[in-house]
Amino acid sequence: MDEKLFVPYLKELADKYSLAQDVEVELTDGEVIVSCDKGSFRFVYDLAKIKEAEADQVVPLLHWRNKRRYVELKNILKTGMIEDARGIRIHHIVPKDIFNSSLQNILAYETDLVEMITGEKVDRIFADFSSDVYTNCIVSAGRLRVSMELGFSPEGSEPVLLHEIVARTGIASDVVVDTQMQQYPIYLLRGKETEHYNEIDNELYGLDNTQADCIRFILGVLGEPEKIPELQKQGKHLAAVYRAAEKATKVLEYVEAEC
Amino acid sequence: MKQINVAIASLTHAHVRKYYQTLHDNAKLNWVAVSCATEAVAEDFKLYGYDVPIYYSTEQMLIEHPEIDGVIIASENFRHFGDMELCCKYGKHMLSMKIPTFDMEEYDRMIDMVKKAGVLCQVELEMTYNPTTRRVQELVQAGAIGDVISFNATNITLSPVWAFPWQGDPEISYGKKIPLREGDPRFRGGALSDHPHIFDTLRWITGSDFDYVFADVADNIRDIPEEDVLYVTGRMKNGCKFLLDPSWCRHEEHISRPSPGWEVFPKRMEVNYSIVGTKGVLQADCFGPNVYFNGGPNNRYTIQYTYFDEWIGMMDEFYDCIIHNKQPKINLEWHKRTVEAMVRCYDSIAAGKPVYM
Repeated sequence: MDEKLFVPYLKELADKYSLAQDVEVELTDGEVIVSCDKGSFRFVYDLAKIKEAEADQVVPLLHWRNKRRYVELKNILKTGMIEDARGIRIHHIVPKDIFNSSLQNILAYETDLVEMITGEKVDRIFADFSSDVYTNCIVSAGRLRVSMELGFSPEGSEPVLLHEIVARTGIASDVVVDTQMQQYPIYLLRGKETEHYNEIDNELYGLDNTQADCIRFILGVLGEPEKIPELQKQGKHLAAVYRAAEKATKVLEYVEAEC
Repeated sequence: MKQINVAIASLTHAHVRKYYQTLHDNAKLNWVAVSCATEAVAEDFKLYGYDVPIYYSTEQMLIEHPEIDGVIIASENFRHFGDMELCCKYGKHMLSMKIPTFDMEEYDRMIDMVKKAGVLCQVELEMTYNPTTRRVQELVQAGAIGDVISFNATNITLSPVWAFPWQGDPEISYGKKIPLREGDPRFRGGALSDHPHIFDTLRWITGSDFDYVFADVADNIRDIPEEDVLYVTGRMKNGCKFLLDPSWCRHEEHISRPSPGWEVFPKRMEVNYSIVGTKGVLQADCFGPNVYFNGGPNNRYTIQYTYFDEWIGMMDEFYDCIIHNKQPKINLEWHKRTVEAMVRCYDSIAAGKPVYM
């Protein structure tokens, strides 16, 4: 986490939108601890760290829920621009970082995203892990089927991310047609090196986009702390889906996940 | 330069249009005749303006043209055995469409029949001749991404069932009417039956064969009696995992003849590879990038494909095999294990479990 930007931005926006007073922020390994007039909250983004016994004491930090591209994919379905999602293709093959530190975290990310975008609950999973670096999954969520390619690429690699919704009336995707990789708003060409910048949030300018998503997620919870039990329940569900995936790998069966 | 004499039988397969240009342009191939399954098929063929004699019976064509060396069997799946029998009877080499048959006993009889007739039978899996596929295979086998952990591929297209209605008829497409699974109103013979290519490429690139397959179908995105969206995963005998998407997940206009404006989604057909190795990841698009326009009958933003030369390489191999009496790379025996894996995918859908080979 970029402490120099993250902490002041979080405090600034909490104050600006009157979400909490006297905000103090502590960044520790895999979590953000926020103390304010509404209480003290442990927001955990390394979900693999959450032990079953403490699942009711922490808040899973589901930062992807605040990523604009996913919010808009959800809106495309919600507003009926495309109707009746039937299939989703997901690629999530990225270098390890603090947010993508284990297959459990990646699976939680994508499971929650499927549920957020479609409103369906993942009920069964088939997975076959290749140690702790990669897994393919076929996931059932009601009438929906999802294919997931989840894993790690070498350090410094471009992320391979795709979310494509196949519905009865159309397709929605976060990757441009006829391309294979994420595109960026800025490319800097200087000889052999091509740098890119991904500035999409002026209010949190300069901050890594996922960290910006974390801030917006935390602000959302501070604004509506009554939603915490629902988030904790979801955290347990995501852990159950991972356990089901592990079991599927052992028994090579479609395994039911607790809803 | 020695020529071979080639004919096309039936002209009802969706791929047949791809052969016209190649047979016309390639001086090594002397296009002798075509047989048309129906009057309507003949009328459609005449619109292309090729000066090639038309017959309404494949056998009649073979009798009238004993000079024919090879026949492209471009018929519906359930007619392939009968067409092969005819070719064997008259001693003609064959280029079979991508699915000779899904009936594995019939498949074995095809192999025997071809052997006894002393002719060769190449199977049309044109992705073998796609330059991107070729480069990907070279890169992987040279160790560019280390050991392959997982081979993932899509072969996703619009559905041809409105232009080629036989592909929407389970008995004609699959050969039998078999329910997808208990209580499901749909039958085998849809998107999976149309997309063997990535199953084959997987075998070439990993140098291995299927250990188990697990497949599941989504509810359909169109009202047809066969599957149209499905996913397949599994493991090869060498331990490599895979995930394949052979869906008809691109929407189409319900038109009776492939023509501009057929696609609703800008890109009507894709074959993509995403190969994860111990040292890196390889992403490849076999049909992209391209050029783009909006216009045509529906004024939609559309992809104009810029290369489709697979058919040239495939016909070059067919020629080479006939001239030099060689076995084609994709022959009936090699392809049998690919078709068998596809059948096992249907079995897996029915059972809700992985199926071992």
